[in-house]
Amino acid sequence: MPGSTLEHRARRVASLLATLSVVVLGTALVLSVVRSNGASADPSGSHVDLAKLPSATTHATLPGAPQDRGTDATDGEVVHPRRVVPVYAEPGRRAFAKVGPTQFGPTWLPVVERRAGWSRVLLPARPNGAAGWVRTALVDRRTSPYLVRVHLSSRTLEIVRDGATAGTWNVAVGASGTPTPTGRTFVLGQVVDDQQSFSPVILPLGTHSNTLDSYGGGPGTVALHGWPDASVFGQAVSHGCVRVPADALALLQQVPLGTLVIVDEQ
Amino acid sequence: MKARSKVVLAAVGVVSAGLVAYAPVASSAPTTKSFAYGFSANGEGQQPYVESTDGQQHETGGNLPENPLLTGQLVYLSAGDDEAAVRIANLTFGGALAQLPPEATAGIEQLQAACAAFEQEPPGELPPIFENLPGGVLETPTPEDAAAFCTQLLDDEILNAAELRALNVSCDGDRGAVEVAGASVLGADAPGLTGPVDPDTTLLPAESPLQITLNRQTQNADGSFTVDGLVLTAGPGGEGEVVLASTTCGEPIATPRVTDDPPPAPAPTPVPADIPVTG
Repeated sequence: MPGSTLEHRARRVASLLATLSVVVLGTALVLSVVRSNGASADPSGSHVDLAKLPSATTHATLPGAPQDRGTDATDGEVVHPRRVVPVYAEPGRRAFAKVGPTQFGPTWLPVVERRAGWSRVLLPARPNGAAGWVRTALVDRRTSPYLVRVHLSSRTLEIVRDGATAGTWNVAVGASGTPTPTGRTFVLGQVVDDQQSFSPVILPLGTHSNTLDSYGGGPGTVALHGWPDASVFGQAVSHGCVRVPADALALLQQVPLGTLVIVDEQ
Repeated sequence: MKARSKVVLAAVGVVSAGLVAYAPVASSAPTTKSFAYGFSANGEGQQPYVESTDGQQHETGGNLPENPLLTGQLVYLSAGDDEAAVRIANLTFGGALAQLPPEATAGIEQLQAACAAFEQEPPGELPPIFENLPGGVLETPTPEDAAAFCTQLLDDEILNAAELRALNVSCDGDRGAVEVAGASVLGADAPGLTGPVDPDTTLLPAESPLQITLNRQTQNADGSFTVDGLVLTAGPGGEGEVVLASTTCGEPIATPRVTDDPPPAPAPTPVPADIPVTG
């Protein structure tokens, strides 16, 4: 075989080797990622095995959840996961939980921070202040015009709509041994519970008692609800829940799920 | 771009494709924000990351996320008023074969088989796996380069394919620039790659399952402008994408912001539930 032919063949093989490197190995690697994710048509971009993640519900404790330290009102944005989605400690960094589209009715979470393509939301799990990042592309966005403020010292509840106070009521807050936890939380649901006779409707919040690990068989979820005895309003007598008068409860029933609730010491 | 540079980036593609992951993403919210990041996979994990929403210059640095295929020893990022820049230094594509994802085994074995055929003296008939490859796309590396690559692959079990001393990406308003410095492949300098890169330079034919794009420029619907330094796209429909060195210029901060308020949330409907609360 002439030397020039050998050289030509060597060059041809070398060239094809480079192409083969790209096409075969690159494709194999990418497809392997798809298979390992089990989500070849999944548009979420998730590299996360959702089955291994704890659900961010009112029954869960998420020790790895970042803490929301904020105390300010937001612009009112609330988001609803269209399906079960991962929740990240930082955008794209580490998924520590998942959150689904329903809990008490549809799941709506308040957005407390945004980055490109990402929304940081409050979560309904323990510890109080649990928050995490979800991909904005995977949630429906709405705006709540409401904000609920609970002032522990004055034992009042204030409903704000479009930045203006819509009403203020004396309410019952947690007793000294079972205080209502402070910080930012949100309206998690609006439920009718046949097992609870004290209120026609109950609004569980995303927060929990810091002193009661469980209560009545539940996880110690704090709620807004009515109370049949008006003498409690203006008192610190509850196990953590906020008991409100009937007219306050009627307005609270108009407050969209996910609406921010800020509990302070004022 | 000279032929040699295509070889460089081919090798880049080989070892970087393992980083590609699934899913699209797109945030179309109107913004005046400018930002830059070093790495992302399908829009996730944008890191290191810096942004400017106040018109002031913000800078940061950091390393690329840990992975078996790609290292960048230093990343410098800055973002300001309608401008952003990112510089990745000492970018190395490669790693120990033992650290590659196990899903890459089949591809590695095919490459090793190809190398075995290549090392025959004289070269034997072309292996069947070379059939039906897109031809004339990647210009010829020298046989010596290929031999060195194969030696790594067969003997050292170290796949150290390419290095870039620097990858510089910037945007300024609606103008973008990408520049590569100090490229080498298989240990040999690749001077053809050095210098500015034309916008939207692609290195493989459309039918290839892996696409490599340099200096991808995108005019976004929200008015922002994105320049991606190096983009690897693969998978059915091209859903998997890795971006290295990306900058996005929003709009000048003085520009009135277009509102994007979500629609009002509805009043809820009570649902039956048994949830003991603290009372």
